[in-house]
Amino acid sequence: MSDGKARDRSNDILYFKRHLELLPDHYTSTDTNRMTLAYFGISALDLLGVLEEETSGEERSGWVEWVYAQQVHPNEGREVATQKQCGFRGAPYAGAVFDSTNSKVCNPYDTGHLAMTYTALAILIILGDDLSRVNREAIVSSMKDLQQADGSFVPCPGSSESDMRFLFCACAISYMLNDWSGVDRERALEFVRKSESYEHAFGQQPDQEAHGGSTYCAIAALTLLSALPTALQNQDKTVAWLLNRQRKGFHGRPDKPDDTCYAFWVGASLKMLDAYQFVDTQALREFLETTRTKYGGYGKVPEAYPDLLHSYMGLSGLALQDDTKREGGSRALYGPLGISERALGWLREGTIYWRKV
Amino acid sequence: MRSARQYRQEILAALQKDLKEELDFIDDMASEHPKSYQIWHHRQIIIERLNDPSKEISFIDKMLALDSKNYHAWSYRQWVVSTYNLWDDEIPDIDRLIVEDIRNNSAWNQRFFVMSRRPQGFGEDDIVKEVSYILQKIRLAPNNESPWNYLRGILEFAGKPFDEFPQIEDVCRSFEAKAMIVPHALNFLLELNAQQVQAGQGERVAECEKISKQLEEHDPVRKLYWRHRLEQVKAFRN
Repeated sequence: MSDGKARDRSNDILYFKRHLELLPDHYTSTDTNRMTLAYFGISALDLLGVLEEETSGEERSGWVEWVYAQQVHPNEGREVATQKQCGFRGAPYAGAVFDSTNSKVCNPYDTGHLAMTYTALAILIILGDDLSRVNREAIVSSMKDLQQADGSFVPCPGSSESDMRFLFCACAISYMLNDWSGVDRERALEFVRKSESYEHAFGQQPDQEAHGGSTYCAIAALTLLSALPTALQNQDKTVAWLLNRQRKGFHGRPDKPDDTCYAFWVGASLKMLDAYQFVDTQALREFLETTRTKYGGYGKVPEAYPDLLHSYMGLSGLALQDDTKREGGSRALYGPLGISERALGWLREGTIYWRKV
Repeated sequence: MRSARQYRQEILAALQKDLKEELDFIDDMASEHPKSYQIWHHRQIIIERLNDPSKEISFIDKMLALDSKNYHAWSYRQWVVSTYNLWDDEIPDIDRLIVEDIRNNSAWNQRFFVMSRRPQGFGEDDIVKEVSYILQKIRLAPNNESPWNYLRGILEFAGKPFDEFPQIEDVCRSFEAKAMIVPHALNFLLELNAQQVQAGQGERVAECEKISKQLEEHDPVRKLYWRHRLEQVKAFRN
């Protein structure tokens, strides 16, 4: 590795470590999503291949406890199967007291949220937890209530946002917990099928414009549902649309500027469709060099300051490349779940809902 | 924050607040946070309760003037148009947006939404009119991906193969005569020739090779893909 590359790599490592220690104040307004920010930092160190050497056992077990303290448990005296609020919250912003064993809702708006449950499980798996404190029955029963008549999901009780993002989260959670009883798979598939637009990529909902982010959510969900390629109208056309998203880097819709995060959304979609070999990875790496910052991490576009989401997505985009093309020491990414191949191995071999007894 | 938005809905109802005033509040908030899901959903619920969409298209147009590809604005627009049956005025408005920015793929998507969902359906006359509209837009900006994608989509929707409209091939070939290289047009010609190879005209492979070479040279970021496409064509012949 050249000096420049080694310096970039150590800057990236420092960037993510700093954010795991103390979040800069402009993340205050995103505190409801703090779990996701933690996932970006922890999964990034895993993909960089330095999670074990750059963080202490004490830090890692502290993170595990913090994640478990965000798990909303069933209310006492009621059947678990009737619970609707369970799952993980993004942070204790609504006033929940720290309790990593049996945290309850602290007010009617304090509930689990599908994106937070997905990223919480991802963090636990990455950190080598065996998921034995995850209340699978409660999560799965709450999830049933979140699926809408059209097959899509809202992220939490009472929400009116329902789209491909949360359908993907529900599939990722079901896969990680090895239990699909919280998802009506036929209805979910129907929603994904109806959201394939005339461009043969996917919108967030039926009739909406095809978009790199929702296309990732759709194709990852189809992968987890074992419905590829049969659920696609025409795989070649979907691949063609995805490849057309490359100028040097990737963008999410025709005529939008290249943006760091689509290196992951579009790249992972191509990988799941066995078409990543057609990507001009040299051009992609050159683009990502222009959004990689001297502070470590990546910005959205060249000259932008780095942020956690784009830093993580830039790194994830590079982690899709073959072993020989990735930077030394880094780990390969498993696209459908957004965790390293190493973490996927632990999910399948080390966690209680997967491990064969 | 989601829960604050839910709480606001609840107190608006409990205090029987004037919802028109709430719309003014949303106008201000939306200009500051145009990409917040919550604001758009909040607005939808208020409009449902008022059952009055009269100001909505002009509100959305104002938001699209700030960012003509705002995903939330377009999604909300589809809801307003289909819920309140505002189909008739939609095509002229989309035309205006396409004239303002011919590369606005969101507007092209909205055009497809209207053509495919409006209650009067989409007939033989409509597809002929659409093809001529699209080709006119392609001539104005041949390297603009949006009308090419829309062309494929609307033909598929109408159940028409593209050789039923020879003017499409004419437009694709017209660029060559002007010594213009247009990868989207070459891609169309490649597909046309590939279909002929598949139909048994093996000699068309040479034409495919020629087009494929041009694509490799002029669209180098997809060089490996164009090679793969040629391999697929050759496999038909065998």
